[in-house]
Amino acid sequence: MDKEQSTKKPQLSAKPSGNSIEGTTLQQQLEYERIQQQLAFLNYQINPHFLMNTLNNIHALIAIDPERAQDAVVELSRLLRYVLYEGDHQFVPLQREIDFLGHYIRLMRIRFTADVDLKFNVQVDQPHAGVPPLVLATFIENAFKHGVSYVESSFVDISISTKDGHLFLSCRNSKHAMGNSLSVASGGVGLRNARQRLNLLFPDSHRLVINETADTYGVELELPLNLDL
Amino acid sequence: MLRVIAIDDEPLALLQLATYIQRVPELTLVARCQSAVEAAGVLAREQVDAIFCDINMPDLSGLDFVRALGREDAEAPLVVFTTAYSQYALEGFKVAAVDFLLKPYTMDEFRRASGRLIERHQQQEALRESQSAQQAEEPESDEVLYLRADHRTQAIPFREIKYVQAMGEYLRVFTDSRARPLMALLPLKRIEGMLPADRFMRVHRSHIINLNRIAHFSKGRVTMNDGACLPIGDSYRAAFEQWLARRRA
Repeated sequence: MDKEQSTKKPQLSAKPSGNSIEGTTLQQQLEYERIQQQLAFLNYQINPHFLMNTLNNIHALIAIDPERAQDAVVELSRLLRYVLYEGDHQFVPLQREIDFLGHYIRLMRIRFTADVDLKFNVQVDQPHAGVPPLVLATFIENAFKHGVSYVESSFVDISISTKDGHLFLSCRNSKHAMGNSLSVASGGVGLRNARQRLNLLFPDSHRLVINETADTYGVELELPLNLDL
Repeated sequence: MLRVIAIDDEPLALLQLATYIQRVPELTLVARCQSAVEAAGVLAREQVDAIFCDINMPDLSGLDFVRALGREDAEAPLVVFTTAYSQYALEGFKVAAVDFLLKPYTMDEFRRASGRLIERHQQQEALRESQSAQQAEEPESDEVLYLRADHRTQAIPFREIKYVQAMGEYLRVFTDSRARPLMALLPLKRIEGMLPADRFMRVHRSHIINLNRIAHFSKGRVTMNDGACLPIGDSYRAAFEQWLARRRA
């Protein structure tokens, strides 16, 4: 199936140069395939730890609050449907990506106590414009992974907006002295992949800035929306 | 009955764990903790036989926490790890976990892990008991003097012997456990060979003393700590004083 996809004629933005299809040489074709392969490798994959822990929480919820447990199953199935069926699309409507983040955040809410200060602001005027699926997922995931503590007060502050055909993500979280070394290590890989993926998808047209201070960690991401979707 | 604590940063996961613990009659839930830091506080206050511990927690991971408990210590609580990540299993067993529960887990799996925990706890208890029993027990056979006295062969642990006194063809063995000395038909020279030379010494033609029982020594006499005052023979004085010189401050 992968092979079939990669032999398709190049389309849309992931092609390496702005040339038209007629101008495609063998070398460009090979370069395109190489990038597609790299992208497939770098595609966001759902974190099994997230999945198993969420199932474990739902498992507990069934006994104490069956209605909330049912809601959580619906939330999780929508999240999985998006990752499994749309995760390999080149572009999805921005609203789909935002819905996914909503499912993710609500499922994380079940897992953590109320004393984590969680904000999710969306101000989007072009919800149908295209973005690569799951392009924001890694940043949100990392914010939860490193932003939550029970010893100190902690926060995760996410805001998404659009302006002049561009998408803006701002994601900030509290940083904690006694970080969990295991999760920091795996978070590093996720961030590196996300960065590489952005470099391949939007080589010159995105901006990713990471602001790290002693007690906060912030990601600013800007990328162009695909308005032809 | 095992006293256990449950540790998990996620409230629902902790609730689930606590519910399962309460369903196993052999387990008593002492505390539920939302972090390893909290659990350390409980361990300092309470007697805890075993912990059920999540691995991936913010602030301090379960693995690091259990490592810090010191697995060498025989008194350290037994550990069952719970985690959503199977790749931690290997590392978990490296820190000597009794078992490993992969989230989400069923009551059956939890019962099985508890069974292993209870079994391991019983082994530990049995080992501890046999160790302390061994300490309280009669000493090993190489620590005992077998002496024919009062028409039977008596076993007398060396450490119970205070001193031995020759009386003609007989000798009297003064011990802790008997009010009267044991009388045996045996030359002093024979019994001297049967007692360990590093703990007993001939100090007189008719006396062998337990060197650990000396209260004080002066002017050719040694006083035992039961009050008995024994002379030191001229031909034994040099050897005794040499022994004393090695020990005197």
